Amino acid sequence: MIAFSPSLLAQDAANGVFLGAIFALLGIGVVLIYKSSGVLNFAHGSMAMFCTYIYFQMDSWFHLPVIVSLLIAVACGVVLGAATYLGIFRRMRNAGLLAKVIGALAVAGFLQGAAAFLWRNASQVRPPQQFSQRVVHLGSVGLDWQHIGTILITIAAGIGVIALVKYTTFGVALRATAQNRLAAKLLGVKEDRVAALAWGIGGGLAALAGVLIIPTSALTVYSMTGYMVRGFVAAVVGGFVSLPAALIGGFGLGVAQESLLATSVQSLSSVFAGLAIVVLLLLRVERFFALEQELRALEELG
Amino acid sequence: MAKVMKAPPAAVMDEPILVEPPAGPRRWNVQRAALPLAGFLAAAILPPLILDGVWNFTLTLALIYGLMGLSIVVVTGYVGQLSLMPATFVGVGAFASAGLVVRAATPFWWAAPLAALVTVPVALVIGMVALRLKGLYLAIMTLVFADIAEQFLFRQDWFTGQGGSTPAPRPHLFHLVDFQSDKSYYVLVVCIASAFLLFMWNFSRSRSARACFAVRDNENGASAMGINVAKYKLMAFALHGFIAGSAGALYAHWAQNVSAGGQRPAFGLEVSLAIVFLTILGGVRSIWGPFIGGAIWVILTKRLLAGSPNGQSIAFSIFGVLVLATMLYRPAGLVGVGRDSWRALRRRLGGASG
Repeated sequence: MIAFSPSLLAQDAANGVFLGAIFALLGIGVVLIYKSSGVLNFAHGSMAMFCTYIYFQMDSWFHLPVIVSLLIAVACGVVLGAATYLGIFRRMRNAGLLAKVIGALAVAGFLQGAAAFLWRNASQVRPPQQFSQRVVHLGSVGLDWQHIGTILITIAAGIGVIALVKYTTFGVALRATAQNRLAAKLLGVKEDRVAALAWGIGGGLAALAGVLIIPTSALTVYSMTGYMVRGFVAAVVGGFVSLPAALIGGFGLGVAQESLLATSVQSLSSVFAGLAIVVLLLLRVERFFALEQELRALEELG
Repeated sequence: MAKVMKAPPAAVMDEPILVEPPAGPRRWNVQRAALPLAGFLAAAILPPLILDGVWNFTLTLALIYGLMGLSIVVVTGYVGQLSLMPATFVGVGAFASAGLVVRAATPFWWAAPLAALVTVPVALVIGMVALRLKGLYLAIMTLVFADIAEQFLFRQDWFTGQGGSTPAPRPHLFHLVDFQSDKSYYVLVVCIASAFLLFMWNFSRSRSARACFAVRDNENGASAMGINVAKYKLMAFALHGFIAGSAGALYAHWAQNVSAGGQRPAFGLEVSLAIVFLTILGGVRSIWGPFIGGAIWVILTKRLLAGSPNGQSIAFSIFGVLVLATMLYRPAGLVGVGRDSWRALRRRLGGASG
C-alpha cells in the first residue's frame, strides 16, 4: 500500500508543475525540430547548457540586467539552432535515421566539450535567478516567483508556438513538410528556410528552459542532460509530432514524478521517466494526438 | 465486395536478388594463417619488449575500448540497431566480475566469463524491446535504460560494494603465472581481444552474419526472404551484452578498482557516447574499426591531453567534429579511408606496370 501525506503531496505537485514546465519547453522544441527535419535533437540539452553558460557570462562580465542577459542567451539559442541545421543537418536531409541520430550526438559531444573547455574555471556556477525568491502562499502550497514566472512563461511560449504552427504561413509550410515532403516541395515550400526557422525556435526555447531552471540548482556541463531525457519523454507522448501533447506531457510528467516524492515509494521518482516511457510506448499513446499520416511520413523520412 | 488481387509488377518479381555466394568450406592451411598469426605475435610480444609499463597500461586500455566498440559493431554495424547504453553493460560486467572475485572469492578465470554471461540477460531485455520498437524509439529507450541503471543500479551497495566501489585485483594462474604487472596484463588482454577478433572474423563470414546484414539493409525484405528477424536481433543484442560485459570485466581488473563515480559517472551516457563515437570514427561495419578508434581515443585522452585538466572534454570536442565529418563525408570511417587509399594505390601501381 502506498502511503502519502496530503499536505506534502500538494507542495510536491506544485514543484512538479514548475519542473514540468521545463520538460514541456524542451519537449516542444524537440517536436518542432523533429517535424521540420526528422532529426531527434540529442543536442537539445547541450544547446540549453551552452546558452545558460552565455547567460552566466553576460551577468558576471558585464553585469547586465537579468532580462537583457536572458534575451541574449535566447538569441544565442536561436542562432545556434539555425546554424546547426544550416551547417550540418541540411546536408543530412536524405540520410538515414542512424546517421541523423549520430550526427545529433556528435553535436552534443562537441558542445559539451567546448563548454567544458571555455568555462573550465567555472565548473559549478550559479547564475542569478530572474524573479524574486519571495514565496507566495496558496493554502498549504508555497511557490516562489521564479517558479510562478517559469510556469507562466512556459504556458505563454507553448500557446505561442502552437498558434504559430496552426495559423501562420510558416506553420502551414512546417506541417506540410512533415506530412508529405515531396508534395510540399512541389508546391513551393522552401524546406531549408522552414527547417532553419524551426531549429532556431527550438534552440531559443532550449536556451529559455536552461536559463530558467539552472539558477535553482547549479550549472555544470552535464546538468541539462537529465532534463533533456525528460523532454524527450514529453515529446514521446505526441509521437514527436504533436505540440499540445508535448506541452501536456511535460507538465504531466513533472507533476507525477514530483508527487511520488511525497509517497512511500519516493525512490521511484528518479526512474519514473524511464517507467513512463515504457508504458507510453507499449500503449502507443501517440496515436491519440497525432495524425497517422504524419507519424508514418516521419518514420519513413527517418 | 469482391477482393481484387493485384499482381505485383513483373519487373519486381523477376529482379534477381543479389546474395553473395556462401563462402565454401575453407581448408585450414599454414599460408592463410601465417599473416594473422604473425600479427598477433607482434602485437603480443613487441609492446612489452619495446615500450615502458605506462605505455603498456595505456595500450591495454585502448584494446579494452576496442572491445567495447566491437560490441557496437555487432549491434549497429551488423544489425543496424542503435544502442546508446554500451557503458551500462560495461559497468554491469565490471562490477559483477570485481564483486565475484572480491566477495565470493571466485578466481578471475571463472568470474570474468560469468560477469560477461550475467550481462547477456540484461542485454536480452533491451533486445526484446528492440523487437517492438524501431529506430528512434529504440535509441531513446536505451538512453532511458542507461539513465535508470545510472540512477538506480549503480547506486545500490549490494551491487557496487560498500561506498560504491569495489577493488579488483589482477589475476594470476595457479600462482605460476602472475598478471600483476602492466606488461603481463597487457599480454593477457591481447590474447582475449584476439580471441574475440577471431570469433568476430569467423562470424562476419557466416550465414548468420549475412542474415544480420539483410536485416540491417532491409528489414521487411529480409523477413520476406524467410529470415527470422527477431532471432538475429536478439542474437546481436546478446553478443552486444556479452562483448561489452567482457570488456567491463577486463576494465575492472585493469583499473584494479571499480567505482560508479560521482560528479562524472564512470559508466554513464558520456562513456557510452565515447564508445559510439570511437566506433563510428574507426568504421562501424568493420571489426578493426573500433580498435583503430579506441587507440586514437585512448592515446588522445590518456597521453596527448593527459596534462590538461579538461583533456577529456577537449577530446570530446575533437571527436564530435571528427564524427560529424565521418558521417558527412566518409560513413565507412577510417577503415573505409584506408581501404579506398589502398585500392587507389594498387590501381595506380597496376596502371603503371601494365
